[in-house]
Amino acid sequence: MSPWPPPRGPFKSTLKIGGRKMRKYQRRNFVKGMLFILPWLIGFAVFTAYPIIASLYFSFTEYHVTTKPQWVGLENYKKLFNDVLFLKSLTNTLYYVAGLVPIGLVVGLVLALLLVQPLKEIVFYRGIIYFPSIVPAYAFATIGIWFFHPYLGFINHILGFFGIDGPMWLSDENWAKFTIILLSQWGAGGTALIYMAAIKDIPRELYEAAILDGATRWQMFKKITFPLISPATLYYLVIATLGALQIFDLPQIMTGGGPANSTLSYVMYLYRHAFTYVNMGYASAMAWILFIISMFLTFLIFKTSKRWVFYYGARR
Amino acid sequence: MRKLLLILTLIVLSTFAMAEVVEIVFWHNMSNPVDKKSIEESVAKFNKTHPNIKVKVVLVPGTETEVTKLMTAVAAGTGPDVYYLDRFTVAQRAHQGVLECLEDYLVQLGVDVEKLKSKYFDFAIAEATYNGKLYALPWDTDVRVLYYNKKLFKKAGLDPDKPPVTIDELDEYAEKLTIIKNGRIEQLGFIPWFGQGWHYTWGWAFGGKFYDEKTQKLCFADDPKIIASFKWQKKYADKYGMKNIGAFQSAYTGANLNPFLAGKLAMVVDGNWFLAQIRTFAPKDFEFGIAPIPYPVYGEAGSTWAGGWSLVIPKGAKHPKEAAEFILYMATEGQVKYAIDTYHLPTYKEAIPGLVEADPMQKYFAELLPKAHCRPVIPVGALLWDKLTEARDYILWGKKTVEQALRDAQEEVQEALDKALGKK
Repeated sequence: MSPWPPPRGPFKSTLKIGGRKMRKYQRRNFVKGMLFILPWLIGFAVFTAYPIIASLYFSFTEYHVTTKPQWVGLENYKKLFNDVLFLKSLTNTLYYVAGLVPIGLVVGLVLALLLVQPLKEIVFYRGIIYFPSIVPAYAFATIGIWFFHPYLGFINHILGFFGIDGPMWLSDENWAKFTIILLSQWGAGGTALIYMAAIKDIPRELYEAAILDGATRWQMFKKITFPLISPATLYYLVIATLGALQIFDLPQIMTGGGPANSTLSYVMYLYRHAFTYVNMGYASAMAWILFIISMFLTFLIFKTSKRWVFYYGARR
Repeated sequence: MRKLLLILTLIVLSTFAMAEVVEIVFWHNMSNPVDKKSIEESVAKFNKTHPNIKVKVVLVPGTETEVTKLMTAVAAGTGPDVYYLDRFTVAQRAHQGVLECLEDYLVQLGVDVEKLKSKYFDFAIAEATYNGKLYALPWDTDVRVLYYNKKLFKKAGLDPDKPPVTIDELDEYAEKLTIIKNGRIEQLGFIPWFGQGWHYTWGWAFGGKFYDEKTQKLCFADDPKIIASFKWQKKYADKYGMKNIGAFQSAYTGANLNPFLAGKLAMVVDGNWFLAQIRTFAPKDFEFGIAPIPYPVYGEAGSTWAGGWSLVIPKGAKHPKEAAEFILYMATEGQVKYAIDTYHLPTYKEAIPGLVEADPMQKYFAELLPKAHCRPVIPVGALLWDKLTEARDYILWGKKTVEQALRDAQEEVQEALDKALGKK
C-alpha cells in the first residue's frame, strides 16, 4: 500500500479526472471519500487480502500453525492429485454443482412464476414460500433427516401410497448426494424472490402485444419472460455455482460425509485437513485449487453470457 | 539481634503481602453442567488455598481432535496457561510444539516425578509422556463394556443372567435377538461397530496388535488377528446389508435417542458413561446387564481400552510454573472430587475408593482399568484413528478387501509417522 497520508508533492499531479488535473475541492473530496472507506479498506487488507496472499504462500509449504512453514514447492499439489479422498471429494462436489444449480434454477423459477399470479392472497403464499429460507441450516438438516427417513419418513410414506418402495435416501451411497440436493431446495425461496422481482420488471405491453398476436403461454414464456429475466439468471448461475462448490453444512450435519464418503464435499475435506490434522499447507493448496475452479466456472458463465443474456432496451 | 529478627520478619511479611497475585487462565470444554460445577468448585478451593495464584476458568469449544481455538491462540501468542486436551493427542501436540514440558516445571516445584507417576494407572502415564518426559497430567478416563437388554433376552428365550462370553456366542445370540419383518429390520441383536465398537475395541478383543513401539512400526495390516476382527464385522454387514442397518440406525439420530435405550438393539458395546445415560433416558422398567466384551478363543478375555482427557500447559503460557502447580492440584485432589461428583473414572488411583463408595456399580468399571489398553502413543494418533475408521468403512461397504484397506491405511499413516519422527 502507498504511504498514508500520501505525500503532498507528487500527489497533485498524479490524481487526474478524465485526463485533467484534479481541482482543489475535488482533491479534498477524494481524500474525504478515502477517509470514509478507510475502515473498510483496512479490514479488507488485514482480513481478506492478506490471508488470501498468505494462503498462496502456505500452499507451497508444510505448515502446522505452531511450527515455522517449510518450503516444499509443488509437493502439496502433487500429493493432492494422488489423494483418493481428495479426488472423491472433488467429484462429489462437481456432482453437487451439476445437481444443485439446474434443479435450483427450475424450482426457483417455477415458484417465482406461481408467486406473480394475480391472486388476492398471494402475499400470504409468498410469505410461506420464503419462510423456510430463514430456517437455520442446522434445524432443517435435522428435520430433513426425518423427512427422508427410509421407514418412518414423510417422503417414503407418500411414495408408499402409490405402491412405490422408496429408496434408502441418506443411507444409500447412490442416493445420498441426490437426497441432499433435493433437500437443499428447501431454501429455493431466495432464488424465487430474485426471479419474482425480475419478472415483475418486464413491461406489460410486451405480453399485451403477444396476446393480440395469439401467442400461447409457453410461447410468451419462451420468447418474452425467459430472455428478459436472463440478467437474473446470470446472477443466479454465478452465485449458485460458487455456493454449490462450497457446500458444507448440510452434508456435515446430515451424514458427516458418509455413507462410504459418498457425500464428502470438497470444503468438508479441506476443513478436516486444516483443523483436525492441522495440515495448513495442504489445506491451503486445496483452497487454491477450489479458487481456480471457481474462477474458471465463473469465467465460463460470463463468457457464454454474451450469447444469452439480454438487457431490455439495450442494443446488442 | 531481636531487632534484626523483627526487621527480617517484617521484610518477609511485607514482600509476601506485596507479592502480586498471579492470574492463570484455564481453558476447558466440559460444558456438561455436572462436570462444569465440579471443576468450578475445585478451582474455587484452589484459589482459596493458594492466595498467590488466581485461576480464571474459560469455557471454550473443542473436541477430541479439533483444537482450532488452541492452535490459533498459541500461534498468536495469546494461549491460556492450562488447557484440557484429549490424552491420546498429547504426543502429537507435544511433537507439533504446542505444549510446554510439564515435567520440567514439576521438578522446579520440587515434585518427585517418579513417585507421582506411580499414583496413576500406567496407560494414562504412557499417553501423557512424549520423548520420555511428562507433557501432561492425566485427568479422567473411561472403559468399554458390553451392555445387554435383559428383557429382550427373556423374550428370545435366552438366560438374562448369561451374557455372551465368546464371539461365537455373541453371533448366536445376535441371530436369536434379531427380528426382520418384510425385509425391514425391526429389532437387531447386535451391530459390532455401533456405539464404542471401534476398530481398536475389536482389534484388541481379538488379541491383535496395532503398533510396535520397539521398531516404531505400525503392524495392524500384518496381524492375522486384526484382519480376522474386521472380517468378522464384515459378516454382519453382509448378513443384514449396510443400507438396511443404516436405515435402522438413522431412526435414532440425535443426542439422546439410542436404539439400545429404545429396546430395539439388544446388545451394544459402549463406554462407562453410557450408564448415566441409561439411568437418565431409559424407560423406568428397563432391565439391563453389563458384561465384558466378548472375544474369540484366541483373543483376550476381559479386554477393554481406555481414553480420557488430560491437563497441559500450552506453549507460550505466561505463568507456566503456577500453571504446573494448578495442574498438580487438579490432577490429584481435584480428580478425587471430580470422580465422586461426576462418576467419571479417575486415572488417579486414590480417587477410586471414593467413586466406588458413591456409586457401587462403578466398581465393575474400575476393576477393568489396571489392564486397559491405550491407543498407540505416536505423534500421528489422530490421523491413525481417522484412517482406521476410513478403512473400516471401506471394508463394511465392500469397497476394498480387508487386507487391502488395512494395507493402504498402514502405509499412509506409517509414512506420516516416519516423517514426524524425522526418519525421512
